[in-house]
Amino acid sequence: MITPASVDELYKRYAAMAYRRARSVLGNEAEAHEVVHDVFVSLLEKPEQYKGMSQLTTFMYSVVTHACLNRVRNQRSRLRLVRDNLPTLGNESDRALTPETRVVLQSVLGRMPEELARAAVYYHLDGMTHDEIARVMQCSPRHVGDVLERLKAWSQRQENAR
Amino acid sequence: MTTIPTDNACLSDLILDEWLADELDADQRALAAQHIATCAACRARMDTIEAETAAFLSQAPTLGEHNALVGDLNEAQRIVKRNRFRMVASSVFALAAMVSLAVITQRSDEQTRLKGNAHVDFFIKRGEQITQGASGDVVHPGELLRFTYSSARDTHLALINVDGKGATVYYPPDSVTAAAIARGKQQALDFSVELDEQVGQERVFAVFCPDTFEIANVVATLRGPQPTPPNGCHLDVITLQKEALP
Repeated sequence: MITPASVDELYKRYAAMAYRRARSVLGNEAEAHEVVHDVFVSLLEKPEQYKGMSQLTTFMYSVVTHACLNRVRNQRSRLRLVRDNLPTLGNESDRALTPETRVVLQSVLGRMPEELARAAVYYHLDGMTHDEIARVMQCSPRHVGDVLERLKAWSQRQENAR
Repeated sequence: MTTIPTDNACLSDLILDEWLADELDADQRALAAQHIATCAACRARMDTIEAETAAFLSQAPTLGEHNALVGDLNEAQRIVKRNRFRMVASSVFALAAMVSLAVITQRSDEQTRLKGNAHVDFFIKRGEQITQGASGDVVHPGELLRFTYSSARDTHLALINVDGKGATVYYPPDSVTAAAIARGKQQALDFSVELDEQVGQERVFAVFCPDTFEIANVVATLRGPQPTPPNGCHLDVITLQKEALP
């Protein structure tokens, strides 16, 4: 189990991996560092969130992905506020935050239901197998298959709606 | 339970991370080892992961130091946002905004220089326009240069310009020894240089040393055909081609 005293040791073992994952999802080094910060502060405050049901690596993959998706959603909210209130600056701010492709990716992830977004990251960004996704999401491979089917259907609906 | 693919497909980052964290059971570890031994792509990926891990930990070896790093980054982003607003609101750019621009206009080659060797970057102010410079750039008399440094550890720095007329110490000003600098990324050096009328090639040498050193002792070697840093030191070189204004 994790204790507040062991978090420093966990940092040494897993922080670089967390940073690499966050940078991969967010495409931004500064934000990736913030995600690492948030994850480890959260572990200090609530070490019981790791229940020992999985290896620490899969646990870290899961919490980092969750933190990134939260950030993507918050970022979209912030951008919407900026656009609503400062329309002349909206597009400029978009470009400043991330490259265009990253904005498109984040835009899609930000609109997806949480479970689909997580599966999309693991499957399309990480290239994980169903078994690997199942381990990180702590569900059965069959459930992963169902989620990926729903993801496909959701994407199709978005495409048809355009 | 971890399942290592047996169809020669490359291992995912998840498996490689579990391998590195020693979280695979004996059978899976043996299968992974067998694959890695015969797969150049996976070995290369593993090397990249290990190098990135070492670089990350050299930048922020402890959670406390990482918290400080995030604080610095937040401050830098706050300055970027403030200055970006000024840029939209007004065409008057202050040279001080150059440091902020570093975050916006990160160079594509940053990954290769980020956390390894200490290095300097620079910005060029031409009239009201500020751009990030790169070694090999053409510059003109009257333009202003401003430098930043990045170093993963506390060190000492001297910045020396060598051109056809001789050597000039840019940094530290008014000192015969190198200055102590704190570790950091894209830290602005508190001076700017106005380029003089002397055209031709200029080389700006950044000499990073763990201990302070007499700048005069280094200048002689920098003016020679094969500039070499003192023992234990690291040299970063920016070459500029100064041409007369058209």
